[in-house]
Amino acid sequence: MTSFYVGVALVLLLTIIIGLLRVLWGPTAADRMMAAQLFSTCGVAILLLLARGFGQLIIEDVALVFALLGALAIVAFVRRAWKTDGPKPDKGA
Amino acid sequence: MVVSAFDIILCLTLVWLAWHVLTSQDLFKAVVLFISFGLLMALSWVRLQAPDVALAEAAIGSGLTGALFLSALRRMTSHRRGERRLDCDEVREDEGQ
Amino acid sequence: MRCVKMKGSEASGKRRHISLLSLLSLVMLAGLSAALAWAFLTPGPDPLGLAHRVDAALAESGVESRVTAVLLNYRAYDTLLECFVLFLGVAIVWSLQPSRPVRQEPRVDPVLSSLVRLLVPLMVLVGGYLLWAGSSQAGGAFQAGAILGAAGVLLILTSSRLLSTMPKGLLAWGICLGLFFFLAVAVGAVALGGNFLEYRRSSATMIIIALEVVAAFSIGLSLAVFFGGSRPEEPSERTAAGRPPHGEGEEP
Repeated sequence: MTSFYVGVALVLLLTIIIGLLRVLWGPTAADRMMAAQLFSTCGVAILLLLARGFGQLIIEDVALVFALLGALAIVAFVRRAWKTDGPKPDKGA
Repeated sequence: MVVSAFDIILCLTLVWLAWHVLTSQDLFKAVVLFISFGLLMALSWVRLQAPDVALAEAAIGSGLTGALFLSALRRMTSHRRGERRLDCDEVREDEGQ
Repeated sequence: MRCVKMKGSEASGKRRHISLLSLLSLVMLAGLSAALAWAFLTPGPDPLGLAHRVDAALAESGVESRVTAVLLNYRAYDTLLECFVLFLGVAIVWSLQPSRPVRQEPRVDPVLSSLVRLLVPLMVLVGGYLLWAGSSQAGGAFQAGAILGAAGVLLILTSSRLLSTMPKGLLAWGICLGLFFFLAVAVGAVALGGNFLEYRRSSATMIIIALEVVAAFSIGLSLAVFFGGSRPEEPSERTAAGRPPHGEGEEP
C-alpha cells in the first residue's frame, strides 16, 4: 500500500515539475504566481499521501501549515507586487 | 522502488530549481522559483525524517520569506523607477522577439 | 521604456560576470557534493551520534519530544542566544533610516478581507496547537512563532497602517518579552543555587512550557515587525520629517 500512495505522490510531484516550466516560461508575472499557487495545493496533497503511505501522522501537521501559509504569498503578490489599476506612478515610465 | 524514484526525482528537481533561482535574470521569476524551492525543500525534510525542520521550512521558507521577497521587490522597483514589475516583464519579452 | 533599456544594458554587461559566477558555483557545488558523498560513505566512529544519550536523559528533561528537550533543556543556552539574535535583528532593522511606505491599494476587496477574517484565527489556533504538540512530537516555539508571524504579516498586508497605529512601547516590550523571560529563568536558576539555565526536575515541564509560550509570542511579533520594515513612525512624526504619506489611502 505504501508504494501505491507514494506512486500517486510521485505523479503529483511530476505535476509540480511540469508547473515549474510555466514558472520558467510564463510570459506574465500572474502566470508565474498562479503556477506557484498550484504547487502549494499539490504540496498539501503530496504531504497527505506521504502521511498515509508511511503511517507518520506528524506529516499531516506539515500539510496543515502549508495549507494555511500557501495563501500568504499570493496575498503578498496581489497587495504588493501586482497592481491593475492603482495610482499612477509619479516618475515617468 | 517507487519510494526511491520519488526521492531521486525530488533531489534532482531541487538541484535544478536551485540552479534556476541563482541564474535567473528576472528577479520576480527568481522569487517565485524560491517559493517553489521552499516547498520542495519541506518535502525533502519530511523524507529525511525531520518533521520539525519541515514545519519550520514550510512556515519560513515558503510562506514568510516569499511574502518578504515580494514586498522587497516592490520596494526596490518602486524606489528605482516608480514602475510595476509586470509591465517591464511583458515589454522586455516583446522586445526580445 | 526607459526601464527596459536600462535593464537590457545591465543584462548584457552582467552576462560574462554571471557565467563566471555560475562556473565558480558549479565547482563549489561539485566539491560540496563530493565531500557529502565521502561523509556519507565512510562510517564515522559513532554512527548513532548523540541520539542515544538524548534518549537516556529524556526522562529528566520534562518533555517527551527529543527535539524540544534538546532545544529548551540540554542546549537552552543556544536557544537563548537565538532569541538574542532575533532581538538584535529587530534592533538593527529599527535603527535603519525609515523607508518610504509601500504604495499599496488602499481599498481591500471583500474576498481578501473575508479570507483574512477566516485565516488569522485559524493561524492563531494552529500556532497554539503546534506549541502544545511541541512537548510530545514535532512542533515547538519557533514553528508556532513563525505561524503567528505569518498571521501578523497577513494583517500588515491588509492594513498598511497597522504597525504605526500600534503603541510603539507595547510593541517593543512584546518583542523583548521572550528574551527577558528567558534571562529571568536563567538568572533565577543561579539565584536558587543551581547552574545557569538549570531547571529543577519537578518544575522543568512548567518552565519549558512557559518559556515556549512567551518565546513563540515574541518570535511571532519579531517576524511580523521584520516584514513591516523600518521602525514604525507616528503619522505626525512622518509629516514633520517632510515625507508625505504616499499611497496609504489618504489621498483620493
